[in-house]
Parts: sequence; C-alpha cells; structure tokens
Amino acid sequence: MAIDSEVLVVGGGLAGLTSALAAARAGADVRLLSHKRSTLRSASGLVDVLGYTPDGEGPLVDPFEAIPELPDRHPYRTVGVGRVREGLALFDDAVPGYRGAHTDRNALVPTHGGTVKPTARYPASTEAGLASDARGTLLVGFEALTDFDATHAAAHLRAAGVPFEARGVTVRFPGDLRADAAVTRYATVLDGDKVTVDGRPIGAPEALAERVKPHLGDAERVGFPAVLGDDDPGGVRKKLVDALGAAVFEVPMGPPSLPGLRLAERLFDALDAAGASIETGNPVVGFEADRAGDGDAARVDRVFVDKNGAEIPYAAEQYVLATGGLVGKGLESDREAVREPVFGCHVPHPEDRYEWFEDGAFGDHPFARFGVETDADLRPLDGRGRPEFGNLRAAGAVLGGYDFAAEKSGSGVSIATGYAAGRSAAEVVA
Amino acid sequence: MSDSTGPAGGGADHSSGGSAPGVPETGATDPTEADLDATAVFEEGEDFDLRPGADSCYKCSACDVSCPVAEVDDDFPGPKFQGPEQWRLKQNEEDYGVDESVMDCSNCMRCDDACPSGVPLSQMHNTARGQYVDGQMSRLSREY
Repeated sequence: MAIDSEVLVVGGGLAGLTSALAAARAGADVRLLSHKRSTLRSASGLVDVLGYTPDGEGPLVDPFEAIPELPDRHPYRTVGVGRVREGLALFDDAVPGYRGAHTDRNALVPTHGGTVKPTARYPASTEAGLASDARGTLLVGFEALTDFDATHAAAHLRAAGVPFEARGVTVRFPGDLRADAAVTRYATVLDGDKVTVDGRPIGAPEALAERVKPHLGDAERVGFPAVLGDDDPGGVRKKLVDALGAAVFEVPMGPPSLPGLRLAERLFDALDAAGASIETGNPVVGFEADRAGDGDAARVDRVFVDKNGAEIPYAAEQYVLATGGLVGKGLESDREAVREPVFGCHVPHPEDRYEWFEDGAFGDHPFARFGVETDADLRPLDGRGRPEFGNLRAAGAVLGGYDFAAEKSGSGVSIATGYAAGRSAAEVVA
Repeated sequence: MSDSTGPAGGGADHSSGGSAPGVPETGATDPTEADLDATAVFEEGEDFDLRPGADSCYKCSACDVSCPVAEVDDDFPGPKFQGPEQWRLKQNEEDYGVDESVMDCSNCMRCDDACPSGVPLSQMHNTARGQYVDGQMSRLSREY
C-alpha cells in the first residue's frame, strides 16, 4: 500500500522544483520529496545560463549562440537549446521579481567580491547595479558584516575597467545589532523595526540613509549588501531611494544569501500554486524495482522514505532524480569511489582517485564534471551504456559533463534539464 | 549531584535484567539509599559523540538564517555558535561556562532541518542547555 503519484520528483532544489513545475503544468499528478533545503539558499540568487565556455572563453555575450558549440557530453547538448529557452520561459512565467528576459544577451552583475558575473536573469533588487550602466556608484558596507568589504569591492571594480565611477564606504548599521548578527536580523530590522538613534526612534531605512548621505557625493546609485528586507524588499528599497534621492540596488553575496532564499521560496510558491504535493524533511532511503525483461530496462516500482525509523513506500509511474551534485549531496564520494546514493546509478570516474583532480587549486578538475551520464531522454546510463531504469530521469547537478562553477551554468542546466525531464515524464503518463 | 552520564541510580546492579532503570532490584533493598536518584525515571543514555557532527560544519550559516530567534533577538548568537562553535570551546576548557543565551533557544529544530551537512545542532544545543542548568543555574531560581 504505497502513496501514489504519477510523477515523483526526488530533490527540492532548482532542478527538482523546475521538473515538478513543468510536469504539474503539463497536467500530471506530481509529488516532490525533498530531504534538506535547496542549495539555492547558499547561492547568489542570480540565474545564469552560460558565462564562459569550458575552455575558459568569456565572459560570453550571448550564451544561446555558444550552446551549440559545447561538447557533446554537456547537458545543454543533450536537451538542446530549445529546451533551455522553454525552461527559462517557464521560470519567467512562474517566478515574480526577476529581470533579464527582454534579451538573449548576458547581463553583468557586480558581486560582493567586486567581481562581475555574467548572468541571464537577476532579481529586481539588483537591477540598478548592472555593470553596463554608466552611472556613478557608491558601494556601502556595514561595519560588522564582513562578507562585503565595500572599499575593496569598489577597487576591484575599478581595476576591472568598469565604465562607471565606483567608490566604497563602510558605515555602522543603525540599531544595536550584535557583531555577528545573521543576515535575517538585518533584513528584519529594515523590514519594520524602529531603531533608536540619538535617543529617538526612527525607521531603519531612514536611519541608514542618513548615515550614507554624507558620502553620496555625485553618485547616482548606491549598492548595499543583499539584506534589504525579507518580507518586503521592494518597500525597503523604495524607502531608501526616497531618503537618498538616488537609485538603490543590492549586491549579491555568498552564503547565506537572502536573494537565494527568496528565490527558493518563490519557486515553492509556484509549485504549490500548480497543485503539486510537496513533502520536505525526510530522506529517500531505498527503492524497489521490477527486474528487466526481454531487452527492456528495469523499472522503479517504489521508493522508501524514512519517517522516524519507519520506511514508508511511495510509488509513481515516472521518477525524476534531482538530488544535486557533490555540494547538494546527490553525489557522494570517499577514498574509494563516487556514488549516487538514492538509486545507485553509475557515476563514471577514474579508479585512481589521484586522477580526480588537478594539482592547481583552480585547475580544470575532473571532479567538477562528475555525475551520471544519460541518454537523449535524460535517463541515467549504467556502465554499459544502457538506461539503469526505464522510468527514471535525472536533472540538475547530479548530471555529469559540465563544470557549473567555471562555466557559470549551474542554474541554466538545472532549469533546462529539470524542464525537459518533467515534460517527458508528464508526456508518458498523460 | 549525579553526573549526566552513565547508568542512573549510581551503583545499582542491572545485570539480572527486568528491573526498571533507576530502581534497585529487589534484594538491593532500601529505597532511601543515599545514591538512589529519585528523579531518574528514564535510563540515562550515553553521551552522544558530537565530534563527527561538529566536524561536518562548514560554516555556511544556513542554520543562523533559519533561526527564528536570531532574526529578532540581538542577544542571541544563533545556532552556529551555540552548536558546533561552543562545543569546540567546551572541549579543552575545564571550567567553560555555557553562555546563558542558550536558554533563549526555542528548540524549534529549524536549524537541524536547514543544515546541509547533518550537523546534530539540536543535540548540541540541548546538551549545552543541560550543562548550563546542571552547572550554572541557581537551584533557588524560579526558572530552575
């Protein structure tokens, strides 16, 4: 007696959510299982497609032009550039508050280190900060928020030759926050708390603007660390704009990332609105498969979810594996081997682990491209080139054949392959 | 009085099975025996080995970001300090005093859920809370 669905997606990150959303909108009865939180919460909140080729050429102006030139093994080549566009169209439709869909060209967004990241989509909160914009810029850091050194970031931007004047200043955040306050604390204070400055209560955005004003000079836009509100980021930005008389933008930071959190929440909202079932907190710990017969691949019959020690069966006609890569723990490794822990899919890798990496820290590491290899329908292949299971597809970072960090392609691959896997699964059950 | 580890009831002999934990078996007699802990209803478990959990922490701060208390309380350091960092500090210092802010932890366990590495945050927090209550909290206080 199992809990039934038509399409079961294992993994609640960008690929899993896109896959489930695509399948749900195509009319399938979809259930999404997610054990831990999405790695989106640690990522910048920017949605990239392709920033650099695998050979390091870039930053690319038009990722869609570059995709057909990628190696055959690259997931973009597996699904085709059409699916990349369709996946992005689904994203644009489902997720409010993102920009960049008006052009195929990459946008260049300054990040907290002062580097500039090529990206296809970016949150509205970062829009005023694009590097192609020539307005004079003031970056503002907060004294106790060590992840963003505004002076250093501005110097880095100047050295990179950006077409605008960039200055950085560090101010003390208004209110009596502790030195290691969480980013959510800053956001909550800006959302609504009144802080006390010189004995009088005042709204936090207004108090912050007062501290920034003396440094404004002739800068026309001001960049802050990405903590500008959690419940009402648009409202916080507007108060700052009104008080400063300049455009305001957020600078994406590393983990923990409020824009990443907001993106994950919006994706879950969209999936909920599409009518899918969502279960979080419990891991898939096993599965049962019908054995292969007469040249057909085996088929996954059910998976088992651990709930406080009991193993509860979940059954579906079609399954999508979107558990993540080495970071998201969809791929595990130790001194012996690299494994896919949920279904035991084959992960091609050299036997000698000294061949998994290059010596230089920023070298072209083979491990960055580890993952399952698939057929044209995104079904993971075993060591002999046959699908492991006829009704299992894989999407996102669990796939091999690409290096998301070097290419700046993580989000795009997750969206494109998630979309493709979800659509295929829904078409089979329709 | 009693330490927080090891079998309850001091030296009671549990070897001939069946007796409830903390209650001396029949024959060991006098329930007013000095080393019988009347509050020990449950068998004391062994200490969790929290070292592998602390080693798993890679400081992503996902726990701090999911903590509802850290979001509003400026005196609360957050699960990242309260768990793995404080655990490490406790190891070498004999008289380490657990920070009082641990009492403000609501035990909602969102930090456990958020941790991508499986750090046993709530176990660490509650172990620290137990140490604080045992060692630092006044027995005459209302809270105790």
